Amino acid sequence: MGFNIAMVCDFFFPQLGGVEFHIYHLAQNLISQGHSVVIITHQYKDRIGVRYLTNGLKVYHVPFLVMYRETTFPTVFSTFPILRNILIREQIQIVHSHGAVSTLAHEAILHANTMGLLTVFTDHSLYAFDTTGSILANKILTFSLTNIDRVICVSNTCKENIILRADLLPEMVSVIPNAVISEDFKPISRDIKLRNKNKKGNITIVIIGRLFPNKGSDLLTRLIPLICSRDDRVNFIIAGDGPKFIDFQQMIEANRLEERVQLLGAVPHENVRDVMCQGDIYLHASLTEAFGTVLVEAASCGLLIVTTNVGGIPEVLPSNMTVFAKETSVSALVLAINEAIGLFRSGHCDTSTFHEEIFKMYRWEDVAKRTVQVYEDIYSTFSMDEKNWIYMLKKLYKREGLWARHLYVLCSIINYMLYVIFEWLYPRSEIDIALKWPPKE
Amino acid sequence: MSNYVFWPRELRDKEKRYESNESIVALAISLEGANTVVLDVLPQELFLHDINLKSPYSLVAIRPKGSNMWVFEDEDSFIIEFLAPPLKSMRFFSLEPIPLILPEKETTDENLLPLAADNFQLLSNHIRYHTTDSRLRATLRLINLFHKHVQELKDLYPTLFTNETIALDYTKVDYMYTWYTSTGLHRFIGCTFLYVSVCICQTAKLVSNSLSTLSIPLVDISATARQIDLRCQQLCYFPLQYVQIKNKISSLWSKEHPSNASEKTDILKEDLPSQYYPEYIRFFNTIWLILNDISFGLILAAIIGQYFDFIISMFHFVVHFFINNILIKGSKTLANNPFGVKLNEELGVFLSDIFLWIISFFYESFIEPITRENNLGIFLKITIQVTCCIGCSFGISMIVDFFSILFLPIYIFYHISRKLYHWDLSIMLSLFYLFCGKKNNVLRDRIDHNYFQLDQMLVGTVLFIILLFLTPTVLAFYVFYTFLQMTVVSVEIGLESLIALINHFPLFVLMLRLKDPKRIPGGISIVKKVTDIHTNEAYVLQLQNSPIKIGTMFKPYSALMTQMKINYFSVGTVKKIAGGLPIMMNRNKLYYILYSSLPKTSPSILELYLPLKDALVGKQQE
Amino acid sequence: MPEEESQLKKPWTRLLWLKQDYPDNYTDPTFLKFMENLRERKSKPKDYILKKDDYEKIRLNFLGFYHILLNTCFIFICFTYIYEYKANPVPLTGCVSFLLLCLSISNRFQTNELSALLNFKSSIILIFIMLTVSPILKSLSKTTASDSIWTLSFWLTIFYTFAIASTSLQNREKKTNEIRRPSNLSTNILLANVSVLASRLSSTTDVFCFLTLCIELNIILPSILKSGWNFTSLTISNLIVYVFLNISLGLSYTLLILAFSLFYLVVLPRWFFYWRVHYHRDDVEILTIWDPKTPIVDL
Repeated sequence: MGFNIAMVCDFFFPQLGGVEFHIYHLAQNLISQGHSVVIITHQYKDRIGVRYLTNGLKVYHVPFLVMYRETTFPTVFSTFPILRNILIREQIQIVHSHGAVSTLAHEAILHANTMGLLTVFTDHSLYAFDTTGSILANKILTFSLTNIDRVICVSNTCKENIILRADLLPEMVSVIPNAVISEDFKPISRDIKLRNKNKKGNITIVIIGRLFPNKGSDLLTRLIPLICSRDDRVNFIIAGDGPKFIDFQQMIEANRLEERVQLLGAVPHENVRDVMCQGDIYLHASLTEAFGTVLVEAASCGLLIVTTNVGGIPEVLPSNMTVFAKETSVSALVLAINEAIGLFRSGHCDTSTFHEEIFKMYRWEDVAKRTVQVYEDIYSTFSMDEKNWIYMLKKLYKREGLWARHLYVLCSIINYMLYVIFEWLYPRSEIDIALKWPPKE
Repeated sequence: MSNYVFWPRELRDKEKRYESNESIVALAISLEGANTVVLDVLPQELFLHDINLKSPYSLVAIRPKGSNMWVFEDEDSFIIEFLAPPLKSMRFFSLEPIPLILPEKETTDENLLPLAADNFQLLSNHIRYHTTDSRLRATLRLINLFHKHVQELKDLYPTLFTNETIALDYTKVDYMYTWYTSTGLHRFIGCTFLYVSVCICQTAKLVSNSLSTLSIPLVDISATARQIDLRCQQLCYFPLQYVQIKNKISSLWSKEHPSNASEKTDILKEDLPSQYYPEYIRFFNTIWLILNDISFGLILAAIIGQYFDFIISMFHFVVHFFINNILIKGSKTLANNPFGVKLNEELGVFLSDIFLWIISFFYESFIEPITRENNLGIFLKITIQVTCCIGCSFGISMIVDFFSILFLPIYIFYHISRKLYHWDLSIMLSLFYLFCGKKNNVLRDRIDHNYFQLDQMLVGTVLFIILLFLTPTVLAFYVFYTFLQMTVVSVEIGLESLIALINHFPLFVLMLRLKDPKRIPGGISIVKKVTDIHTNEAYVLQLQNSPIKIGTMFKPYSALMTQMKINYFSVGTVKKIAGGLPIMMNRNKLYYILYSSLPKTSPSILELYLPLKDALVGKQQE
Repeated sequence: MPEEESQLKKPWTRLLWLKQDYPDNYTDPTFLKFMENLRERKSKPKDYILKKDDYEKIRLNFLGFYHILLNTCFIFICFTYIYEYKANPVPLTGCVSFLLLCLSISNRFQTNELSALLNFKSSIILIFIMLTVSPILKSLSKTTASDSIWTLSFWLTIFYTFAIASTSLQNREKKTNEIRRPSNLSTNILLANVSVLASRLSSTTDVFCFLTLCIELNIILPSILKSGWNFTSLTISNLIVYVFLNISLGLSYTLLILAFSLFYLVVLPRWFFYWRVHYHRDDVEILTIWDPKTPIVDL
């Protein structure tokens, strides 16, 4: 008998991105292991109501007010009635929220705790401590994670970050990395690759990612002309869009690199593999990164990775696949690229085995198994006392910050009162139980 | 899948007339691709003799002696009852709402949402979403011509219907008509009508063409010209409509059977009712509206005539008050710190002087002369005459035109201040780019990074500061004249909507909706009805006509209102005003929707003449 | 014994791709130590001692802000000189321009960029443009009452001070070798202030001179003095400001203001340093390991 799990996040299909793919693949693998999963997200344009995806993955697109960048307007309490209804209707045991910037995810944790359900939270990114926005975000995170049963992070760096931000006990946080669909990132055979090239020894460097300042685009715009002027057998392919796109265009025009640097703009996810396979080296100049799924995808396509040594990146790939730049500087990156080019030209680097190795390292089945292990842990050690209202209030009251903790307690009390009112106004017995999708034989 | 048999409700009475000791059979027609439709019930004994029913006719059910139940040949059969539409009632069944606008003009909705239309195209081309209602469509076609098919059956098998009188009940009018068509008088009157209408059409077409093909199309500027154009187009289209209605509908209605076999099958195969009844409705709607317009005109003329002097003095007062107290005083106030806001004096005085000069020029040159009381009187008299003779809409459109001439200065002021404001904004925007170290790359249409020298920066800053301090002054003028212009535009729009209402109100359709909703079908519904307790079947399905919705009748209006909302009262308009972009719109585009019952190009005389001659005078060979 | 060795667990490594025989919620021991340290430091903040360098930095920042205030005073000195004393501004402008010219020529041999900054052609163009716009500037806010002008100018000055302080202090921290150039925001505020004040002046010549003086003293002069400020320039500005204050406001006010400045320069930095040491919790700065790294463009 599997668990009934609700994944809650503001970001889901039809929007595409790292978090969205993570939720989707995790849910699919949980379903194939016999669990029942529903996804709760907000409405996307005319996509309102219940939709079914492959294998009966049920998605609730709830009409919430969207504020900024597809996150819902934070109201703390207004989502409670409908979330309660869905959680009861689907007989949910575990609420699994994703993404620290998703307001819906935080509110779902709060409401699920109030209803005495098990809660799990997955964080996908790193956050700073000193900017005003991040201080506020950390306060909110501290509030919603006080009574969480388990937090999942994608890397050890991410885990340490969240322990400090939300003041959690280290054993409350598990590390489960992301994964890739290996079949979607197969390398093309070496012969075809060679045939496509005019000269032997030509090297193509691929850069894929959104062109934002924190993805190191300032480094890249400086670095590409340098590499091109020093070695005329190196070409670049850049895929992605963003506010720094114009900088790249100007860089190409100013240095007359039109023939050597291809600027593709945004590339749909299903074509990323084809772009990667055109290159030999994948260059990643990010200034902060929690995990770096794109590195795993590139390695799976048989590319040698040149990357900055930030965040969780050093944990992700074995040393034979990567060349690290010592610091986030142009000179260090140029050195690393030259080293990688040297490795390639001298034939010391065999990328043909990468795909197989990656296939063994990162699989969604493993991720799902480890996640289920987390569910089982918290389910077996669960006692009703932990979800006792007074107990949870006490925990909130022990938090740091004079004003913050009183606010936490106040919110929690109001939420509990609302819960009692809803139980009386819309009794559980009057909510129909949804039929579960029949599991595949 | 069960087989649906359509059963006319009239036959229920007929079957009751047969004794229960008589066994009766149901004779049906089943065309290819359509469901079976029962044409008649007859005693079984008729078929004992050598009557050989050929396809498409067959016997589908039998009610044996002493029974009340029909036994079907096909076990799975299921009855759907319907009321066969009588031939002359102009009722019919239709899957889609009856088209009140010409089909070729249906595309206007898609223009509003080009993106959605694109996706819609993709979806509608996808084979999964193709409707499979062709069978139902064919069945409805058959039902619409039910009586024609019965006639056909009676022609083919006269022996079956010997005991029924098939006498044609000619009325007196019919006899009169046959007598009339046989005389020479008919030819004379017909010819006269023919030539007169062809002449009228030709003139109307000329007028309409000349109005819309000038270097500056008058139709776009003047409401009166548009009104004349509309009436001319209607006149040109009338004969064609008449011909179509007369030929097709009369052949549908005729009690005599066409001798010609091909013509017969033509009638039976096509879905003439749903093609030509809407045309009929459109034709009479237009005629009603024109008559209505004239009667309104008479009322309006009478009212204006009664309060003639009052209206003139009132109008004179209002115009002078407006020009003196609002335009001149407003412009002067703007130059002298309005509401205590300290504007730039030099620019304020300069602008207000310019506007005052323009006002005095316009005032001297034409506003003063045309608003003199006796001149106003002449204008009003002409308006009354026009209103009396050719309709209220013409009178109103003349008033609209008069207003737009009168408000020409405001239009000019609005554009001058708008342009100034727009320049101000765009220069400040490019200077702002300069401060951000960016510049607008015109060749590539993007904002580039650029390094500016100190002196460039300084000059930019000085200019920016000057513009910044001048902006409130420009803005004050712009806001004032935009407000005036919007007021004028709202008045004009109000009057023009009134004209549109008079011209295109679905009067005839609304009357039909009250009188006989079945003549304007808006789709079909199949309803479960309890039949009387005597029969064994407790329930029966009935095919019913659901009349067209009121909203659909006013669809052109709602489209017009949406267009107006988009153009004048939307966020887009506010953005345009804030950015100093013009908010005027092409009148032609706005009223295109209302021309929905007229074809795009009016028919030429040649394609009109022969059919019209046939219709009025009779066919040549006869 | 090989068997016993295999029974012992391999030590945990901080790698995600390696499948290790540890539970998912195993925590890096070094991080646990780090947390321990952090907690200790939090519990006794007084152990955290600022170095002598830090005090030096604070003092320099205070001095920098003082210098900016002095520079801002020049706007009002020029204005009072022209408006209140109705003096002829042409000789003064001439002198200052000549001085600037000498300075820039002497600098020209040192720096090429500066010469590009202030070449002859663009100076001429600039002067002509300023001549053209001076009458416009004079009339821009003429109708506004003087009281409103003073209030507006007061607020603009405050904005200006903060705008220029935030950029120039930041520049110093970055230790960039580029020529210091006031930010566009501060230049704009300065010119807005000048054009507001210019409406009170009596003639176009006055407006032109006032505008030229302000631009020279607040924009061009700081660009020429590359290092921002040095002892000589500081002394000269102090002298000018206090002498002028003495003339216009009298000795008592001057002494009062002088006392304030001394208090600001001597006492306040110490006070601030004391607060940093004893009351300010500095744990935020230690956690920068998770912040996005700054890109270093060094080639």
